[in-house]
Amino acid sequence: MDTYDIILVDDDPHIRQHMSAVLNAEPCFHLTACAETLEAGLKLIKQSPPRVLLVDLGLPDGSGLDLISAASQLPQTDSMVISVFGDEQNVIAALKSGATGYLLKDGMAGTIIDDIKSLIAGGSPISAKIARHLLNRFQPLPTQQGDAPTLTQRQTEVLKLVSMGYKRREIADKLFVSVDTIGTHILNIYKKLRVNTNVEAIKKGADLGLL
Amino acid sequence: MRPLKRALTWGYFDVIHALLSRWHILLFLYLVATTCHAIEIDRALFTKVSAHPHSDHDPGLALIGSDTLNWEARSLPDYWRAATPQGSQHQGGQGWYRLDFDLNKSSIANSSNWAIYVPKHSRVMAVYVNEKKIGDTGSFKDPLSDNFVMPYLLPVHNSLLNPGTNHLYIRLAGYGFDEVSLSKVFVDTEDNLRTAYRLRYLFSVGVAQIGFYSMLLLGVLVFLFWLSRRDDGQYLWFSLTCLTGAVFCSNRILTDFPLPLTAEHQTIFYSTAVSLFTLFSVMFLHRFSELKLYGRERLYFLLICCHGLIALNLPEQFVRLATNLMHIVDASVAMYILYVIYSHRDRNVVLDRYLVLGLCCLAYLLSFNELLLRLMDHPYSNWLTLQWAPVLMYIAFVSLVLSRLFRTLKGFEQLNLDLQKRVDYKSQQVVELEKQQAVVEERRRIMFDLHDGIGGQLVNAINYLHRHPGRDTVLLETVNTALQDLRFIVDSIDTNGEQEPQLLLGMFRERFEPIVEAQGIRFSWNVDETLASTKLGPSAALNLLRVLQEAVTNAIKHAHASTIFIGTTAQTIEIEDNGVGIDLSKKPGLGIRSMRERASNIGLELEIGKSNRGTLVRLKFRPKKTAH
Repeated sequence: MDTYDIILVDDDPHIRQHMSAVLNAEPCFHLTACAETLEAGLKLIKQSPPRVLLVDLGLPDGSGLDLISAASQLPQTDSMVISVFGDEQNVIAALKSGATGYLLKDGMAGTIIDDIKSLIAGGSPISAKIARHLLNRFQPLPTQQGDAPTLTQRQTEVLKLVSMGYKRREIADKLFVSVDTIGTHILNIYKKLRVNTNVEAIKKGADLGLL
Repeated sequence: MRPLKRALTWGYFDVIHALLSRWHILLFLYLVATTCHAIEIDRALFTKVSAHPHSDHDPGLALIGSDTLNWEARSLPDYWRAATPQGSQHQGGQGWYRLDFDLNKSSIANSSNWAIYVPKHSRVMAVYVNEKKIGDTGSFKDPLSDNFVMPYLLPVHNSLLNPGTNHLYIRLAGYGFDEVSLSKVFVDTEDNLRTAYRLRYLFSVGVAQIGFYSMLLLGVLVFLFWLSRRDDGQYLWFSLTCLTGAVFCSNRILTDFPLPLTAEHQTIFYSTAVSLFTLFSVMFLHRFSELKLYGRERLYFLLICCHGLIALNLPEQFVRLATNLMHIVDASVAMYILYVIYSHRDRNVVLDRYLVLGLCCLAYLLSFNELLLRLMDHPYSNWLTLQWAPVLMYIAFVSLVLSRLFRTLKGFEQLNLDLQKRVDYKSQQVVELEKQQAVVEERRRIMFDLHDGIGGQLVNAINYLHRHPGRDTVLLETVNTALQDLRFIVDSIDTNGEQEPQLLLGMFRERFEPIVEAQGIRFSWNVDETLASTKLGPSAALNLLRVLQEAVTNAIKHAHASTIFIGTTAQTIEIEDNGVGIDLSKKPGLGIRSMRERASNIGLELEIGKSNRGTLVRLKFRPKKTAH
């Protein structure tokens, strides 16, 4: 059985303790290192790129987003943001930086393990509110140029169902596809979010006369 | 043959002339009344002394006094062209008239100065009373002075008059290509004749003077105006219309042309001025009415140039023919102007429409009157009216331009007002947005505090309780509930404003499913998009989440259900379980009452009852009412 290296970056010792306990209980995960600060975290992922990076956004010396950006350059690493609420605000910021999902801090052992496993298998977690946000964000505006990425019909369907509270399995049944396909759709939408962010940045830059 | 033809032509002419010149008749009657005491001389003896108008061979009074000349009787007004139609050499030239009138001794002695009133003559005359010259109306040298509309009142000193028969001699000179004529002559005291003279002067020369000065001034002003905004062609052409109108009117004011041009060239010059006036009027109107009919303008301009070039090279006896032909073209173009004004009348307000059309029609009739007089070679053509046309036209055009200017100004003011309104509205919007932004910022701050503060603490507490054996389950549940509640608060707040009920249901499931599953109960989810999309603000959202929480908690605690069905229709949210079913006979507890209140707060009707499966809680959206 493969084991996956995990690095945890969180300044809260209780969270680190809790996460370590949960992760070490699972044989296929190997928590290689923990870090408290952004700087230490950056150093760690450079030295030994993990399979999964778990990161809190509020670090004492900076934002976890920087760490996620750095990790997104590594080919093997998936980043997950650890959040208390999994709320839209923080998660979307993390997704834009290149995270592929989020974990709830108080998640029960099973949920955390399942979420990380599903991430490794290629399916990112998503919440109703994030789905709604993504739907709004990708809605093609009349003024928008053709180069901005938009969602496919199927991706829109998936997001709509997620936003109404349907679980991945239920969506798969409704759309007559496999659960993995739904996971792939969500991952692709996250990728588009990053592309979309870049396009927006370029457009904004052009508007401001920077480009 | 000839008398018949003439009678026919005049028959038509008289009808048209009578129609066109009603006011002439009135004026004529008035003049007759004011000059009724005067001696009206309508008979004269005439002798032609030279075929050349400016011949040095002027026999003078010496010759006139002798009986060697052939005096022929003529009735006034006399018209040389009509009188001598045979050959061109007889049409112009110099001649003398002898007009006799009788006076008695008392009338000479008792009255103030006498005067001779000549309403019209062409082109130049010198007047002698009893062989003493009392005045002339210009130069007899080439080019002759031109007096074709000028009335003259020449005072005669009483000492020149004799009781009995007096002789009035008038030396008249004119060109063959032009009219040479003398109207009736009036003899009376100066005081008696002055009124008629002044009135006539006003209507023929005065109008032209007013026209000349006002059009010159306006032309220059409008031209200067155009210089400052050259993209608006209508002002250039309007200015040129005025200036050419002024040039044309000067024809009726000046007896001597200010440039050394021959008489024919002067005629061609003025005739061209009329044509150009018409052309510029057309160009102005085209631009004013936003018509791009440049082809017509070019064609007309070409005709004017051709006419000028041809007329300059014609023998003098054909000059009049050429200019008359050109004037027929001008009259047709003037008719076209009327057509343009009429067909684009809708562009102007009602008053302008009729004023402009009326003035232009009048101008046209007056010009047409003169054209007919010229074409018919009419001997009584003593009332030329073309000088009115440019004046009327320019009043019409000024009213058009001014009216449009006023409307533009009004529109501009309105635009300013609208802009101000829009600025106010936008400012208000900005203030609103700033407020909203402040609210959003505040929400962000609260979220951040919740996230890193209370949320983190609660999570730590839960983790701590989990890790330590002999944990206090009541405390754990309380902290869990607190975190759950906090999550609802976080979910209910959307930084962008309002949220759809479907989304709230989705979030509710995410938060509540682990708790439900821990009790061995599963959700059967049947939410769809058809649910009324009444969006809910943060407080309403929190109320809805709490109502859902209460309904689901009841199902878990009291119903002993294995499945909770959550579904929606277009107007309702239904929470149903397959448990024992509610006992409706019992008085509703606090939980249900608070559910009801919360639902009612956000504009939902709550129904609780038994269904086939168990208990059914139905939240009904009241149609068309906004929830708060």
